[in-house]
Amino acid sequence: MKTLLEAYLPTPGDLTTAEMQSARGTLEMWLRDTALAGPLQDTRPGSPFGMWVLDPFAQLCAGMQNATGKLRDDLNVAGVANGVVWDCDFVEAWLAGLGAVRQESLDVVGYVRLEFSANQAVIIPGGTRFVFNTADVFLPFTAELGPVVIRPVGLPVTGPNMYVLTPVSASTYAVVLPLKGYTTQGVPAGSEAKIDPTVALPTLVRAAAVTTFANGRVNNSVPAMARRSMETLFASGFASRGGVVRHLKQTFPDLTGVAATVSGDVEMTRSAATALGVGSRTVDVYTRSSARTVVTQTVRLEYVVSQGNTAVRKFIGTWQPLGVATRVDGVSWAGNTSLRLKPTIFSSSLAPARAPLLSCAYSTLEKMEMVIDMPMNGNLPLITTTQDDSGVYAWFTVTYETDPSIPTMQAFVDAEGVAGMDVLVRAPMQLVISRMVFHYDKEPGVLFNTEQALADVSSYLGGLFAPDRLNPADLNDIVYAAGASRINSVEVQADLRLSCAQYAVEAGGAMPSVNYRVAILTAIQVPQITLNDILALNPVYTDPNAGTPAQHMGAAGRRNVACALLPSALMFHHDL
Amino acid sequence: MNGIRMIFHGMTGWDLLPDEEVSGFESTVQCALVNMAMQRGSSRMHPEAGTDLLAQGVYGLLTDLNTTKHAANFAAAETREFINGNTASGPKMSNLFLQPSVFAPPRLELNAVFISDSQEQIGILLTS
Repeated sequence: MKTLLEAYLPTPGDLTTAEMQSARGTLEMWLRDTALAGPLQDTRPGSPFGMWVLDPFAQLCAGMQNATGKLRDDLNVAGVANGVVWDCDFVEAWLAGLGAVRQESLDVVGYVRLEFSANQAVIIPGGTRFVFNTADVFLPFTAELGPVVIRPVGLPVTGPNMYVLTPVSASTYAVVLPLKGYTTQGVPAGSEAKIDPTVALPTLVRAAAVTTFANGRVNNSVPAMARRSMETLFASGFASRGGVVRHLKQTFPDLTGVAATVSGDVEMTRSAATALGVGSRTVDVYTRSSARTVVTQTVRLEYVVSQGNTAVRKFIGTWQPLGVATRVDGVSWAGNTSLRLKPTIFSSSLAPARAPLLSCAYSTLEKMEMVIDMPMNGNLPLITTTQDDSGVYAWFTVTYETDPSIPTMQAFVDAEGVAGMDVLVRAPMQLVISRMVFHYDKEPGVLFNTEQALADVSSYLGGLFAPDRLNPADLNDIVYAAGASRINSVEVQADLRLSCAQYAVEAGGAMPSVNYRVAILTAIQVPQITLNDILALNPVYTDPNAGTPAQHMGAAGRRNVACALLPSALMFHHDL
Repeated sequence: MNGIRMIFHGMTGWDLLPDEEVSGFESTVQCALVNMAMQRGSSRMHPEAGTDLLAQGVYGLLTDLNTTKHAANFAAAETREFINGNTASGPKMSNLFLQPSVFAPPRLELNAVFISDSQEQIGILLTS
């Protein structure tokens, strides 16, 4: 480490006249204090004492003052985080005391899909190694130390490291497990992992990466370490909105967005009522991760001809998505995928006292049942059912977008045991843009770069989540940059989805699998919120029936809405 | 206000006499003499200190008596301004005259007269 003078003392040429004169003035003031300096010395410019004593000392004092200022800058973590560092070795040692040290490898959080051939309980030891690319080692990223417990379909989650199998086809059961480790080459989606041969998993068919694990680059610059130290201090708990965000971002580096809503926010409906009228201590954490992916799942639905004396003739069953479903893209009969079907999804809360109705939407507390009408051609049913000892049923292919990070983060938050706070991790409300057409003019001879505009607008909208908000001017800039000379209008067709479901069933209410007719009559319809104006794409929505029996408890605002752009939604039309 | 006495020997240099002190207006005059002979901009601490008189002489810009008188007057005025500006307490200069007494290029001799704000005079004013 350099000495103080080596690191901080400037060369005389670096000092400004103002700095030197300021130091000279201070010294002169000291010398005029007769108690200190005795007889009054002539210190004016041109005087021997002034030129040969005071001036050099003033220059040295100015240099020391400058050096002290730099030392103070180095001790100011916020300044260092902004990139001003004078002695990197000293600052690094100082930051180590605040808990920020060099990271030799960057942790990556990824998700692996484990597929099993049997619906049986499985225990995976905590330190089990999942190896990708022969050298990239990942371990289960569990909320608590200990083994991973995978339970059969339908059983509840009662512990932090517990996962429940999801049936994904007639004979395959899957679970998405978070992993943490490092990768030097990156792990592409679909890469198969090799598991410790010492771990006996006889029913395991396949372990594959759900999404691409991005290999990060370690930033060990001193300013980056200072930023980490600030975040470490700031993120030392769930005590504040910012603390929640920092805490999760540090723990899950794959998060692309985090927002927290607390009692009093327009988006928070869980804390509306307490006996004393005081908002309860609830926090909804909305997260988006880079692990979001579109999956196809084969779901078995029972064919219900009638319930009691009431004819039903619908396929009804529980739909348990992998992770937390954020958008249903399509449902078709597995026997003929060209037969597109329109499902009706009913949502109910697994913990209605904690998160009733739509306040549990997009969280692990949401339980869903799917209802599909039997499509008919006249009197002829178009879906062939299967009948065996377990009943009459058919298999359906459900394509949906899921974020597997939500259950992982909920388990992490639960394991943290946030004192006095009820923290629910949710995916944001989905603002699904199904059509966006830019009508533009361009100068004759100018080529409009449609590809660039498509890529830029898609990237902008696809990544939009709190705290960023949609700004039409940004979109216009992108279109101008692609070659447009004027934007005449923008057609928009979007809808705000407060849940994947169309109906929300109240606590104790009938689900369709029990009584479809009662369910459809008593369930609360999830509002269809359509937006047709680009200026309305930062929606704020509160339940107009809040406090009445018709309330659905859905809410949307700037902190909990994320954009999703459907394929082929974006178009650019040159007005001639 | 006390200073250390300096003795100037024209072009051959100067001596510092640490055992002798100058005080009052004499000390101001000593500062003014140093300033008049000092090249402007040579001090980073006081960039405005000094005059251009020495440089003008060295570079041959003092070509005739009138030009020399003009340059000397300028140097005197600037010096008076600078020294008075840096004299917080003690006697200031009310007048400073700097006149060529010998102008025989390449030789130039200047006569300086300092008058304090209490009319104390150091130097003898030449008549022309």
